[in-house]
Amino acid sequence: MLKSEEQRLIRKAARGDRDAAGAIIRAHQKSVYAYLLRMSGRPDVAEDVTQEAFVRVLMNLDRFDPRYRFSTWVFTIARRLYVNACQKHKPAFDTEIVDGWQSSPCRPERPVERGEQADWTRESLDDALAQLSTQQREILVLFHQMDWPIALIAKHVGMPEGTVKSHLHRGRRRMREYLNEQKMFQEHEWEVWA
Amino acid sequence: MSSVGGHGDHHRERLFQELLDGTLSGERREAAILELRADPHRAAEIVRLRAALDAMRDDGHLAPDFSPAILDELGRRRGFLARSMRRVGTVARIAAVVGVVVGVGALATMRERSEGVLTPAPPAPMTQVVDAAERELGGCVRTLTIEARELGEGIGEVPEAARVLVARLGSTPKPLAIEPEPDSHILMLRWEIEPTRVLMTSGGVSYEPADLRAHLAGESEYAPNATGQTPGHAVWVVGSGSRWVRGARYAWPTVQPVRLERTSSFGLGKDAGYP
Repeated sequence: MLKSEEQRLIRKAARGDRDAAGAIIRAHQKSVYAYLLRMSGRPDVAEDVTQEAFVRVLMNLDRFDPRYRFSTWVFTIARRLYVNACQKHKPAFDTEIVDGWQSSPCRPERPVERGEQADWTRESLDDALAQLSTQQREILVLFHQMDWPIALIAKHVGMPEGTVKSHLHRGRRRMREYLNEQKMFQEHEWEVWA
Repeated sequence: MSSVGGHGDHHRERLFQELLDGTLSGERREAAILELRADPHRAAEIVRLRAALDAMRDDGHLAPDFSPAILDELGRRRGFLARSMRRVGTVARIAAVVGVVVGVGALATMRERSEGVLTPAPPAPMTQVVDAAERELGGCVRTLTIEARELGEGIGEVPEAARVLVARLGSTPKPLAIEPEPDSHILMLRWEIEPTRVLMTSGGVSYEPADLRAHLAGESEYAPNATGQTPGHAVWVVGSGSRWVRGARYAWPTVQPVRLERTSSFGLGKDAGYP
């Protein structure tokens, strides 16, 4: 969506236009949901936080500063809500909470939408991501899934760019080692990776 | 891992990371690929990792359409459609009050002038005005503390963290400046609070300054003291970066005191610091 179009929709939605609000939600919900799904590993958590994030966004549109990227603002709110949700599940904040969710035996089955192969790939990927720390996982998701530049990630997570890169490199190294150990994604080796 | 040890391994690891970072230019990228391909084990690792990373991008289609549920929820919370209407109502009420005050003031002035009597309010000594301002701003900070506690409960739902927040915000503010403006008889007082420091809680979660500022931006009210000799004034909060200032602008007229009943102004939107 063009920025000018987005600004127009934001102004209309801030005045109470439901159609504009719906358009804003539909433009950003997929990426926000995918981000939260990767972070939590749980569709129910991702759905709840995504919906709450958009409710907060739309109730506070008049506070959005148009000098900044709207999508980043949405992600900032979603991230904060997710952290709060983690906090709610455990009194003292602990990065292991997310890992705990990942390995929870009550974790729901993934929806089958693109066949068994797609599910297997997704589950393998989730397992690999679950090996990372919360920070490593988030930075990896933002960089490789959302295509955010390092500078933007640094601002989003409140770390220096060098630290972000360091987390990214360590995360990739850990993920690579895990894939090697588990013999995952070997079927892709025939592909021309260049 | 690569069977090549020591320096070579380190070098290839760096190339590998730079390749995935996307920071290599055309020729260097080609050279890096050739070099990494020379190590079949490393090449296979890259292929596997690349495949996994590419698979991360395929999740968007899983998202259902949340928009109907979100719009319904907005309607239930009366914070969306009703908000703009409420704001219009608030602005109209404030405009009406200001209009009445100005009208009454103008009528009173005209009557006094017509009677040939000019009764200027006795100018209070500067020290009294400063003392009064400090007392009232002390009240502002207490109000702020309550707002912070409500925010902590509303957003974080972590009473312990909220208590930390409140306790630290409740400390005595430091006056920044007292700026008398001789021409307009205005006295400026400002207090600085450092939200980046005070908002870090022992639980490890921080409430970002933008949270608090944004919260204060639209929902705070401050009713100035309209009795006694207190001159009319406006109270505001402004935020920028890590600084957060709350202060008061005291009009100190010498001819006719004009008291503004509801003149709170919270100009935070542009400085909320969102990324």
